[in-house]
Amino acid sequence: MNGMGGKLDDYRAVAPRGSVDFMLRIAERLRGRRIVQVTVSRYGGGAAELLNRIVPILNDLGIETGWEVMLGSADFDAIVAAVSKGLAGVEQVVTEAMLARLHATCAGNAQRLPLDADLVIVKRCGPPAARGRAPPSGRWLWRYHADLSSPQPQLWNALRPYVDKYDAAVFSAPKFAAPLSTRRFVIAPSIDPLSERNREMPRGEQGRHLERLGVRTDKPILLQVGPFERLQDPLGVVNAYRLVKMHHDVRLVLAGPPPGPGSVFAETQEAASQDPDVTVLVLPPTRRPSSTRWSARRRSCCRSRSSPTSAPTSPPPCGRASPWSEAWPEGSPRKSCPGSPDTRWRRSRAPPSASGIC
Amino acid sequence: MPAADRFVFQGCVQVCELLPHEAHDARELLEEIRRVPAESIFCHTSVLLVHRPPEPDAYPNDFALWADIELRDRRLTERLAAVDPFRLGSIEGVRAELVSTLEHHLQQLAAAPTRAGEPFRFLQYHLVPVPTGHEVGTLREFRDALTGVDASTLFFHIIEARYRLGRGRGDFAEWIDTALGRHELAERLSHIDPYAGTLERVRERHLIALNRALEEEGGA
Repeated sequence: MNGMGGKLDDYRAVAPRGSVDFMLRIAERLRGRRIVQVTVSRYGGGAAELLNRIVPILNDLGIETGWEVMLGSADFDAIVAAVSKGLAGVEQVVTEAMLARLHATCAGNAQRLPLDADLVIVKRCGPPAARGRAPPSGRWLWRYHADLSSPQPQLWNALRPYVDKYDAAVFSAPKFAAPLSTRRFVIAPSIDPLSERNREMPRGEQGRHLERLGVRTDKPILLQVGPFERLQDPLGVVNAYRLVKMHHDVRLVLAGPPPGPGSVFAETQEAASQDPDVTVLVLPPTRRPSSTRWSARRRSCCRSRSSPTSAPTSPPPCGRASPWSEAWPEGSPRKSCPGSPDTRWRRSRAPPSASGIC
Repeated sequence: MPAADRFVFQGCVQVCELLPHEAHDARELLEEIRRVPAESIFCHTSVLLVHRPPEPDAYPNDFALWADIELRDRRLTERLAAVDPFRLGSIEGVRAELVSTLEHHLQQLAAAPTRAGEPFRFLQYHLVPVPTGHEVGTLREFRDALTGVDASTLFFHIIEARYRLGRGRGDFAEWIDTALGRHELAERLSHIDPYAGTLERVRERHLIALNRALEEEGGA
């Protein structure tokens, strides 16, 4: 269609009837508009993974779309992580100094980044302060994917005034939304059906992976993949499994990257220890050398207005947080038996040289 | 055929806004249903068709789903699920039926209404019509276009037009009647209940009727 949408055409095989053509029509109406997406990181996390696909597609459709990443000093990542957890309701120590640092970084980025656009979409917890300093052109949306229904009160009280300055906030589910004086919208989270992570896996390939991991296939498997952190609630998953188990004879597999500080890995192992049908797997970390991430940030990410189609179309060189697509084929996942945490593995955070150690 | 008589297929984009209205029990649900804009009632009883899961036994509206999952009130669930926009014909008619259902339920309660674990959060959809590029002048062209358009097109011309915009029997039936003079076919299409099943099922039933009409007039 008019030579546009070549990449969008890839989705015809999986999209509902007529929807790709309809998206091309919508794009025609938006052609010439400019959108800027702002994130705190280029690599890792679902938002970055999706933007890697969406930004080139939007540009192909004639909707000029930029992706800007905030630059921060060495402690910026740690502050963003702490604020993220605090907003998710996990008790965190976020000091006045940390908040001041966060605001200063956001304000600095608002001055530095080319944010003059018809629509500026700011993601995650770091940038709330950006709206206050940026030029008031276009509309500003704050996109928050995680659950903001029970944030740490003091932290939220400090950040909320900045969010209220946005034209609207967008949440992934009605129950995730916090009370705000600005308008709130809901957009369900999405996945890329054509990404490596979500592709259809043939039975034979499934069997090979499960065999290598030591997961028996004699029963249906309930699976959770994610960090062993309170936010992902692996203990809740174990409880849900126990409810299911009353009616169906299934196995539970909890798989995630090596646990970090503050994880609930030990509690998860403890909860799983009495049940031979629960398997806890520690997968090799995704390869994301910190230096690469930093250098990516220093490049200020991506694209200038003069080169709207230069956004990366290939996967980032390192750091898609996809334990299944990246760690499985190359690394050697490690099976952690209940009660025997692999401390050496956690200390080194280096891929093991041999497969599965109990 | 004059351009004015041609049918222009339009799809729609739905933007979902969260309203500052919540209900924690059946009494609050009643109060809020009285208060919220008609677009919110439309959202919880009709727009969900665009996103309806394929399960055939899914509840026909969000109020019934909430009463079942959060209030665990089977009786109220059944009553709310029986509210039928197709029969009632307008959003205000649906609101009145919901109000009377809840009032009747609350009158019969011996104790205070059960508190929900999760409140009912009211949403409101903003619908933006977008032309799909399909414009037709004959019944055959209409049938061919209907086969390939996005499902939101069916929602816009059948449900949005009929129940919220008050356009008679829906755009399809009206055009086939007035522009093509096919009164019987228009009547048949207007009797297809869009709330029974998914939009793809609605498309299927329209195509069956259209194919039959084309066969009758001499080969599809």
